[in-house]
Amino acid sequence: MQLEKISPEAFEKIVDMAAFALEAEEKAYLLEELNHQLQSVQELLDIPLEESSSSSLINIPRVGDMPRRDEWQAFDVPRGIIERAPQHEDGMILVPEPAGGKDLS
Amino acid sequence: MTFTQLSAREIAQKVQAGELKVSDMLEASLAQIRAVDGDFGSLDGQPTDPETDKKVHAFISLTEELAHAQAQAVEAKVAKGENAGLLAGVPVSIKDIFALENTVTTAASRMLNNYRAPYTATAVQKLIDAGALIVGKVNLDEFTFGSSNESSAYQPASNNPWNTTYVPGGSSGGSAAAVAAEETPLSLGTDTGGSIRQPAAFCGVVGLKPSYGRVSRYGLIAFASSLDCPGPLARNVEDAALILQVMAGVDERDESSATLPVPNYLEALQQDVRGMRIGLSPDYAGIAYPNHATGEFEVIPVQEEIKQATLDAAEQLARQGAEIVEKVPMPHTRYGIPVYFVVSRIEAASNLNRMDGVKYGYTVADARDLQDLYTRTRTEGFGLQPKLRILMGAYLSAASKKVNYYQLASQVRGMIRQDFELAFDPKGAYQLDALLTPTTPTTAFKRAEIFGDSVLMQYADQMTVSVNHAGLPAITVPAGLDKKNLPIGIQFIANHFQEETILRAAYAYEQSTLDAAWRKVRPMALQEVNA
Repeated sequence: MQLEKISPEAFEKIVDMAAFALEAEEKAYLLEELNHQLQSVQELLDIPLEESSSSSLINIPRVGDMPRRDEWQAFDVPRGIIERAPQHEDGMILVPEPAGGKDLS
Repeated sequence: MTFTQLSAREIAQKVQAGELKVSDMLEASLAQIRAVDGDFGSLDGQPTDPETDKKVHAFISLTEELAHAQAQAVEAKVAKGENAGLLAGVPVSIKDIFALENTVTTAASRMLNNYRAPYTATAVQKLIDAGALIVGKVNLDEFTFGSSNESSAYQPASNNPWNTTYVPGGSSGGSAAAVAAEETPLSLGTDTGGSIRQPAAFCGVVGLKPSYGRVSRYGLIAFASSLDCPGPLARNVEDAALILQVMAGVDERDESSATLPVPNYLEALQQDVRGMRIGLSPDYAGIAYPNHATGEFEVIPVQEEIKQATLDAAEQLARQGAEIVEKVPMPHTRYGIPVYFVVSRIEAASNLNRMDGVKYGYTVADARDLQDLYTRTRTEGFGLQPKLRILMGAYLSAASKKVNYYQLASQVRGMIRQDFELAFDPKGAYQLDALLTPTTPTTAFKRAEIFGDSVLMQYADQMTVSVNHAGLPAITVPAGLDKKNLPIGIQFIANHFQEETILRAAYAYEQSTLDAAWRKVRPMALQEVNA
C-alpha cells in the first residue's frame, strides 16, 4: 500500500490552523519529521482489528461516590486568575480587535 | 554519611525524634545544590561557570523562602511533640510542570516564562501537608515533550550525574538528576509515556508511575490527559513507597482520580515474594523501529547488559521463592509508539490551544489584531518540539481525513491493554502478579546524539509506553552499571492499582543486591563532593 505523506500544501494548512508563522528552515525540519512520524503511525493500518477491541478509555474503579457531584464551583479568588492575564482592566481580560474589526461574538 | 545521603524515611524519623534539626537538613540540601548544580536553566541561558559541562543543572528555580517557612513550621510541630508528618523535614524538588501558588511555573517553555500559578497542585499540597520542604523547581523537556531534557527552553538543560556528557533522560530529567546527585532525596515527576521511569533508569534511581487515577492530576499542566500520571523519583524503593503513601488518594478536584482506598504501601514492603508469579516476555527483547531510508521496520535488540540484568533479577527473585514464568506473549507492545504518536499528539494539540497570549503567560506587544496576537505569541512562545507535536496532532485529527486515527489508535490501545489483562488474569494461562522487563532499550545516550530525530527519540520509550496506554502501575529500579559506568534500570509492571505488588518485588530485588559492587560506585558529578 502507498504510504500517506503530508504534502507541502497540507502542511501549510495545518501550520495556519495551529497559528504559527514559520521560517523556511523550521518548515523543512518539521515537515520531514512529521512524515517520519506518519510512517510509524501507518503501521497501525495493517493491524487486523479484533471485533471485540473497543476504543480504550482507561477504567477508573469507583468505590462509593464519585469524587464530587458534577457541579460548577467558583474558584476562591477569581481576581487572582484574571490578574495573570497579560492585559486586563477592571476584572476583565483585554484583547485586540479581531482582524478587520469584525465582531466575533 | 552526610545529611544529603540520608533516605527520606531516615530524615523524617530523625526529625520527628529530635535527632536532626530541619534547618540543618535544609541547609545541607541547599549546599549540595550549590556544589553540584551550577547554572540554573534560564531562557537564552549563557553559562557563567567555566566548569558548566561538569555540572548537573537540575534546577530552574529555588524556592528557598518557602522552604525555610516550611522548615520552621515542621520544627514548631516537633517542638510541641506533634506528629510532623511522614515527610517531616524532607527536601523535595518539583518538576516545573506542577503549579505551586505564587511561584513561577514555566513548563520549561518561553510560553509560561512569567506565569505565576494562582493555586497549588494537589500532589504538591499533599507533600507540603506531610512536612516536606519544597526547595525548588527542576528542569524538563519543554511541556514534557521529549526523552532527553534537551528540548527545554531553559538552558543549560540537565545533565546526567553519572557522566555529564550524557543526557539524564526525560522528560523528568531534572527530577532524576536532582535525586541521583543527592540534591534532594525525593522529586515529584510526571509520566505520560515513560517520563519518570526512563530518566530514573538513566540516572540510577527509583521511579514509580502509579496507576492512572491513583494520584490527582489537579494542578499539573496537561500534556496528554488520558495518559499523564504524577509520580515520585527516589533513591530507594522504601522512599518511593513513602511518598506514594502521601500523594495517593481521591481528589474532588480531579474527576479521574480513583475512589479506591489507599493501602499501606510501607507495610506491603515487609511481605516477601514467595509464591509471586513474575513474567518475562520475549516482546520486550527489542524495539521495532522504522528505518526512514528503507521504509522497513527493523528490530533492534535491547543492549546486552540490560538484558542480562533483567535475567539476573529474575534469578534473584526465583531464589527468594518467586515463580518465574517465561515466554509471556505481549504481542501488541510494538504498537505502543505508533499509538502514542496519535493519542499523545492529538491530546497535546488540544491542550496547548489554550496558550494564545490572552489568558496567561507569554504574549507579544503591539499586536495588530487578535489573529496577529495568536500567531506571533504561539510562534515565539513555543519551541520546535511543541510545534512539531501540535502540528502532528492537528494533522491526525483533521476532520477531512479518511482515517479516524484517534479511533484507530484507541482500538489498538485496547488491544495493548488486553495483552496485560490476559497476562494478569487470575484464571488465565499465565496468572502473573508482575511482569519484569528492561526499562529502556539502552542506557543513557550522549547529549546531541539523538536530539532532533523525533522518531528515534520516541522509540526509546517503547518499553515504558504500553503501561501508560493501559493505565497500569510500574516501577523502575537500578540493576547495575554498563561498561561505560552508566546505570541500568529494570521495570516491574502490575495490574491496576496493585502498586503494593510492584513495590514488594522491587524492594525484594533491591534488598538482595544491597551488597553488589555496582552499588558502591558513585555518580561522576559527586566524586569530588562529599567523597
